[in-house]
Amino acid sequence: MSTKQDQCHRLEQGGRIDRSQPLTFTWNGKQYQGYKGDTLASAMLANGIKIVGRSFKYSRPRGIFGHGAEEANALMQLGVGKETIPNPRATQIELFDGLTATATNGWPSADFDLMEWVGKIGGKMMPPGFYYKTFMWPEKMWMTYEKFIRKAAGYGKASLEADPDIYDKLNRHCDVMVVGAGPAGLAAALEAGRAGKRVIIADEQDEFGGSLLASKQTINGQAAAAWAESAAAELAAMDNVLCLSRTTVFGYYDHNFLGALERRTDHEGMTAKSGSRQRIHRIRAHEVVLAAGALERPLVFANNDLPGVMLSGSVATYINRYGVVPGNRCVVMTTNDSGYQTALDITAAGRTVVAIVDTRQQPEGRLIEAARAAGIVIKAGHAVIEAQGSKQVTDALVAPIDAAGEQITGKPVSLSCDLIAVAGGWSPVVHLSCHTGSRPQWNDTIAAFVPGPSVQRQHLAGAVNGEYTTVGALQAGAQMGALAAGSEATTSYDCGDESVGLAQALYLVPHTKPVSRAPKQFVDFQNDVTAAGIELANREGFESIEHVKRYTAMGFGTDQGKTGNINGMAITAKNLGKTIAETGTTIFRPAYTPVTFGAMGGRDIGELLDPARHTAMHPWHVENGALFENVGQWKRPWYYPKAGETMQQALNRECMAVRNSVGILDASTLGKIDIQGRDAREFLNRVYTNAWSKLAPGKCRYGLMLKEDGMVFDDGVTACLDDNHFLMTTTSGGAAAVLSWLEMWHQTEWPELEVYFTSVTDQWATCSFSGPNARKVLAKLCDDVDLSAEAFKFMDWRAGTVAGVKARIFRISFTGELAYEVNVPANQGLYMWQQIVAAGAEFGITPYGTETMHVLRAEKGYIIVGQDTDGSLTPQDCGMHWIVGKNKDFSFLGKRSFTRPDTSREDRKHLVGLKPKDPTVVLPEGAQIVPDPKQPIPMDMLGHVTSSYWSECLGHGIALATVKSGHHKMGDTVYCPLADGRVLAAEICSPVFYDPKGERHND
Amino acid sequence: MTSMQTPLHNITLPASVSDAGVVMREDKFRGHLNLRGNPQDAAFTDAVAQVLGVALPLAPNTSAEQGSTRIYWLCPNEWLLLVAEGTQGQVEADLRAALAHQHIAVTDLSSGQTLVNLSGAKLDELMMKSAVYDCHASNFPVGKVVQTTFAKAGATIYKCEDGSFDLVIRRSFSDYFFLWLKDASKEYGLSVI
Repeated sequence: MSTKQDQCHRLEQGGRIDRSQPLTFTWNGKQYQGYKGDTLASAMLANGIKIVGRSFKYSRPRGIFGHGAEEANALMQLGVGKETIPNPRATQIELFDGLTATATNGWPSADFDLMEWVGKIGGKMMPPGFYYKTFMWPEKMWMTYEKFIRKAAGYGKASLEADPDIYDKLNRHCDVMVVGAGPAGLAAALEAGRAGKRVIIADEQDEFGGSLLASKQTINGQAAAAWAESAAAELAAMDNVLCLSRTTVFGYYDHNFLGALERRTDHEGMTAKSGSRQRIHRIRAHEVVLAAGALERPLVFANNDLPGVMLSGSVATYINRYGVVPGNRCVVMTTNDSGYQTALDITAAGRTVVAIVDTRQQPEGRLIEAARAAGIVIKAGHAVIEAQGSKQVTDALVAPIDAAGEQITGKPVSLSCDLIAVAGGWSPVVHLSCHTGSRPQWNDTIAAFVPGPSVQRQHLAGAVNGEYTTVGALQAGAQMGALAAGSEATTSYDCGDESVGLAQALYLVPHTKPVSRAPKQFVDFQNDVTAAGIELANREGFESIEHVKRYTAMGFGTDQGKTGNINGMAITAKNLGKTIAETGTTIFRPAYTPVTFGAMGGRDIGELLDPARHTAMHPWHVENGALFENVGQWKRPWYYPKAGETMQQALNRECMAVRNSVGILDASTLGKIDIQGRDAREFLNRVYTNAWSKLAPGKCRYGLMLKEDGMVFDDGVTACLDDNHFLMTTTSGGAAAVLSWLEMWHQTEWPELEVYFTSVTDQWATCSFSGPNARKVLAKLCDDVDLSAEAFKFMDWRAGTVAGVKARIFRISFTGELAYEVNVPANQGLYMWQQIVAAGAEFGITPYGTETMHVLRAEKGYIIVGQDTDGSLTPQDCGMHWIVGKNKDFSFLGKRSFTRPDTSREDRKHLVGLKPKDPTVVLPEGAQIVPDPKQPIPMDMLGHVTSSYWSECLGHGIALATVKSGHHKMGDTVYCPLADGRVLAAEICSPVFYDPKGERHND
Repeated sequence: MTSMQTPLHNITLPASVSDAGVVMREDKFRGHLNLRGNPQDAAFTDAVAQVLGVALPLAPNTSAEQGSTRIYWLCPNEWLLLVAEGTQGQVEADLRAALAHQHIAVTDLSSGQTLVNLSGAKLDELMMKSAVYDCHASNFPVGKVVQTTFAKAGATIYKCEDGSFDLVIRRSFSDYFFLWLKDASKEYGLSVI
């Protein structure tokens, strides 16, 4: 069978397709041929494919309706398996050899669909607001409804397998961003480009030209498409101009920031052979020229969703650009002159125009005369009130209507046809302008919304602004391009006579029956919203257009109501006796057309999703089998299991090594802030609760930092390096917040204090080793510091040489054991770690991670800010009265709040220890604490478990918890009722479980 | 010294390619000193100029260079001094001596960050993938310094005489930085020299 026979609707010549490059594609399992330059839609139409899917609610057959982004019906399931892409529009899929597509719905097939019968019978079961109504009553029926809805609803399916493609993003900057490369956009870019500005011009189609590619006009004597080609070539040759075809500007945001999706390889095949398949350009522009054009509006009449009803401009585009005539006998219904051009194009293509049905009573002008001259029947003052046929159009029911377009004034007649081309006027693509918060404004002259005033550097050119002539678009483009570039337009344009008559504002075409009784008159094809449905919603009290939208689901589809919304608003306005301007539009939000999640993710996925911060010793931890825990963005060793060990066994081993000999922890992630200046001490006095005036060089002190509300915010040890020089440490996760906090208070409240802060977190690597043998390990590596307990006390620091490296040695402990933290410049961190591990080998030095650190510190009752505290605990709540300075000259942050009644009351939640009654039990963290588990629900709640571990050295479980009035309930028994029914009893005790006198770390 | 390892010691190099579009070179063990002080105080600016042999840049986002010393303006009272490897201790001591009794801060950050040079035919596109800042020549002249992000890591970016970029990257982010760089330059080829 030859290709020509297959493509029964293909013209012998004409269009921008390449007949020398036939391409094979498969639709619903059957092979067809199209040509290079086709869209999937044009190739399907060429092959006479009428039904492309089934509708959402009623399972009605649907056909290709438009030719671009406005298409609501032709959603495809493109490709199979892991490559499959759900719901692209056939009108925007460029045909490639081997393309496979199926209908997104229809069971058992789109052509023969059993659900259609359900739809016909069950349609009344799914009125507008169906979802909300089923939610309300009867509740138990929802599960039944849901199965039915799930079966009926939805379009394509995403693959459950990993996407084989990658996606990426580029950050772009330009002086002038031109959105759209039709006549207005091309003219604008030419002017801005010639003026030497950095220009980006983007268009969603494969080639620049927009409407010119399907136009028979001339521009300055040149064929329109040829002019577009030469303009595109001139732009491409300019170094200062970036031309992005196949790129949809999908969002326009504050400060002239735009998002654009470039489909880099979609036209070549399902997956990219190399590089990214799609790319998002994140564009920041000084000036934006919106030249996004306009979309044609359909008319709402009975059975207007039958395959064979199409937009008039789309029919013309298929003929002129793709060499495809979607029908042989066509009725054109129009409210304006543009239907006449389509009729002329159909005639020129050798097909029959049965009639032009013009809703206007007395249309006159250039195109009307041309149609008359071509011998086309014109039925003025008439409308197609109903499309007839079962699976495709076979007849158009045509009736005379009154001048207002509200009443049928005579007997309808049936015209036999296979195509109804509908020209209901044009809707400027106001979407992008509206994304920025600008509301569109109704323009009565063109019966359409145009973009309203914008606060951004935005310029409008062409059809987007209601300027529908080609010459008008070109001239506005040139003018706006020059304006955006700060230059003068260099070119003027002449396109001959483009005069048109006045259009009629008509949306809902009357029928012989009232709206509620007439065959379905569709407004939104994708969500099966009808005029009757909108009428019902209005009658039920939904008057705001936003409510109508949500109640009926109008505009909820992937097309976002590009064709339907204005009609729906007009119908609502009419029902409510308002004007369309009064009714207004719903909010237009990004994205203009759907953007794949892959593109939005770009390369920020997997290990690039969030930076993993590593310490200098990270490779050692990896080599030694550490498992890692995320602490902020840091990867910290969690524990180091040996072969065959469970987590608990590993923790027990690590804990006992520290208690009995020596263990080593990488503490490099602690935040470190270098503080210099003669007021450093005073500054510390103000941000910490305790006193810093007398801390001598060589000494360290633990500090608690509060927010103004008196609640614990961060903690850490700060060392006095010199009289005017301190080193503050913070929690690993809190480092950045603490530095910002210090800077804020310094810069806004106490600028008179002479102090500077510099983050040195990454500068220093910290090896913390603790246990009774810690001193012996250090002694092997350091001979220039007196390590004796008398000379180098707990909470002292010394500068010294460790393993030949200049180091700061801090004698501080978070484990309760004798401990040293050796700080060296991080370039020598790994080396230092290795030296200490080697020196400690004879003592069985054991690397331990954050989990063992948590157990050891909990045995000592040391809090972890953010685990045991949650921003609602004061130092007093934590039992840390001792750290709150009473006699400081200046106040400190949070102090004032201590006297607030709520902060000073005695029955606040207090941090306490909990000892499970059953020594083998470890309370679950987060468990709720109650005084009496037999109390009926709701029980009195006392608090919850914040930290809980098995303590190997004590031989029983231990926990920290917040308990109401806990400090006054020592020895009381409380209960943790668990979700599984168990109730665990525990005794309230001191949080210090181990070495309460601190003899070990002072040793 | 064998005990020293740069922040980028942990990376896995990509397979070597001929005519790579992106070239990375780490300026290893460069001295990095952070300097704070009052630019309105001539005693401060003069003394610093005396020690460094070059005046502090005072205009936002500018730099100064003299021999192996380069100075980045970071904020109205903060600068980054890049000095020759191993000299940072001496420079710090000299500054402290020259600025004694002034309200200043000098902090050695030589281990906390590293200097990475990026060049190559595909540099512009790589920068567009990685930085939100406009690195086009019209906006980023030679000698300009910008504190921004490179992917999701903080970066201080400087435009070199030869059109390449020097980036200051924090040590803890350097593994992530290199993972990103390797990924972003995959289609152009990456060479590490």
